[in-house]
Amino acid sequence: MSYCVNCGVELHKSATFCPLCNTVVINPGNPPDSQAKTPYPAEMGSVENVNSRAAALLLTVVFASIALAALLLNLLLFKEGFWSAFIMGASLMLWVFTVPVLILRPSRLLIILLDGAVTSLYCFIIAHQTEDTSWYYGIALPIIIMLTGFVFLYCYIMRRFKTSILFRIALIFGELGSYAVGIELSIRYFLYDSLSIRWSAVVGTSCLIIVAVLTTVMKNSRLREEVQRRLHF
Amino acid sequence: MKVKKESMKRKEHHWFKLDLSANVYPTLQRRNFSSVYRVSALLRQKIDPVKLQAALDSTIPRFPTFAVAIHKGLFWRYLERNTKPGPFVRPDVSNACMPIHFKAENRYLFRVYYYENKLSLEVFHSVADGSGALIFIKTLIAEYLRLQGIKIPYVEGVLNCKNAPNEAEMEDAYVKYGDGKVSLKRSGIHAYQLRGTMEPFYTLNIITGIAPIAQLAAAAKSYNVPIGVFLTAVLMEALMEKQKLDKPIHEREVAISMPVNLRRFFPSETLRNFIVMLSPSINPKMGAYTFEEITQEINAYMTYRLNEKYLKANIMTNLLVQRNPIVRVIPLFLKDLIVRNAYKKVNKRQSSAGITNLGIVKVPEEMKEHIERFEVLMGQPFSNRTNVAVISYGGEISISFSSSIVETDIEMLFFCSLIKKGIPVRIESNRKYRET
Repeated sequence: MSYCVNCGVELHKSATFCPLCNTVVINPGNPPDSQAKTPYPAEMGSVENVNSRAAALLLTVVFASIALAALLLNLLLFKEGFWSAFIMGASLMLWVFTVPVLILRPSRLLIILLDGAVTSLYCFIIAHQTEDTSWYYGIALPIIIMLTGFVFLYCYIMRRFKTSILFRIALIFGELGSYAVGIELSIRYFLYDSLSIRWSAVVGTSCLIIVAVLTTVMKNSRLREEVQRRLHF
Repeated sequence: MKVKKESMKRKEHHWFKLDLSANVYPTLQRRNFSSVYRVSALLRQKIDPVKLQAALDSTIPRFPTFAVAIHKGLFWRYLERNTKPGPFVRPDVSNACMPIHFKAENRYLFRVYYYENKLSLEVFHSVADGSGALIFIKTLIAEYLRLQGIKIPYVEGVLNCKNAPNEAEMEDAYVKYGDGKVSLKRSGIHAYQLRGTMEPFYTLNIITGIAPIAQLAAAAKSYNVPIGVFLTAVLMEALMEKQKLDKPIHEREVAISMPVNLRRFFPSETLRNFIVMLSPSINPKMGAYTFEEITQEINAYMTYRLNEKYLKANIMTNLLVQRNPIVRVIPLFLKDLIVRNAYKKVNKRQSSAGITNLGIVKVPEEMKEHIERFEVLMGQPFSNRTNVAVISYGGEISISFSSSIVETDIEMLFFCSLIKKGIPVRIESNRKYRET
């Protein structure tokens, strides 16, 4: 065993460096014993996942029973219109929101896409039942697609890249501004057949200014450090 | 008929209310916050997992407060007797004190690991405090040694597993001694918080320093303070030094939170939680403190507070909240929300680091030659803070730092300070070499 030349502590005979100051052990007279067992194991552990199949099964049974009961009541007793489609659609939507997360543990990105798809489907059922699908294709679908897209983009960037808090805030404001513009464009196109913006220009410009300020702070290291110092908590 | 009478005499516990301390931990338990701590014993020989499992199986029935699962009620959580198979001994891992998922691992709230000659017990804090866990591990080691033909008497905290569980060991001692009329005002300080680079998730960096207790006691004596106060002062000095190195715009108070074992002041045999937190602090804005001044400051703080009356008032601070009729009828999910936010905004900021001292471990004479050392470790913290856990056995004191950050500044300042004071330190760690 050796002593650390930098901080003076005695080291374990297997140690090749000092855990306190990271100084490498160079001791030709008594080199680190590579055969000796280290004081701590090298294998990492992980928390056991909970088996949520029982909960998933229970939820499936509950949603399926609600849907089936509504369908039967619709077919046999209350026969005015196909109202059970709303309940069956809602059950399907809630099932997609909850069950795949419990049993399949798919990635967060896949869940966002699934949730977007099932919400679009439910809106389509409503539109189909009300026999006017123009609002669905004109407003509902573009808004759902845009929202899904923005949430997907945010989560993808968070997952793929190591980002700072400033970048995240800038991204949220950037997406909020774009989303506001997107909503107004689809509403105006649906109502007046024109691709113009008014109120969303104010929201979009405000978000753009915030993004520009944050980007400047991010790019300038001195400014960034100043902000960190001033705002540390 | 006789059997029925006997079973009626001994009260069967199918469930336990969570005690005062235990109520907070499940609320805070998250992926990134573990209220799990570890007590380890290093034996003189390599551990045989088969015998260890047999010893564990015979130990568990003696500890009904350990063989439990945690469940949610409408207003409070509670512990229910767990009859599922397990827990099973398992090979040790490098990242100790992983959070315990309440529904995983057959719902058990403690784990037993083995690695070479090291036996480790990890306990979720709602089940027991360090003193309770120490009695469990001593009884487990005694059972393990007995399986190897070694006779161990039932003294010094080694319980007889053939006996029925004792009612006094299961009591909620907070309720028993919570008959005070005065409570203390909560501290509202915003203490200095360590900053550092967070390690990847689930990494728990451990640095254990082992020092001879005689030399440490001599050093503490030279300042006329107990070892616990001396080590707290060394940690306080390290934190103050680190704050100075950070060059902050405003220096903040440095506070250390420290659990106190109430069994020393109130006669209780409980194996559950029975601790309160004290947090000595020093404000560097008052001027430059010498080490001697720091020791005297902490010693005065502790001397003033370590008495039955003050500690009872300390218990009452939280107990009165728990007994408040309005608090009691708030649904659990709302309580969780409030407690979690209060912890993040208030409690977390009140201390810069934590230190816990389990004191000197006493074991029966026959066990001494089979045990080399004890170690204790606090779980994965929420923030960048460093936690220190201290335990002494057989002439050696083991001081373990656990942290989730890359930097080792506090550990280095602490151990270098001991070296400068003439106390030799041997270091063991699970840290990996940092490429620079």
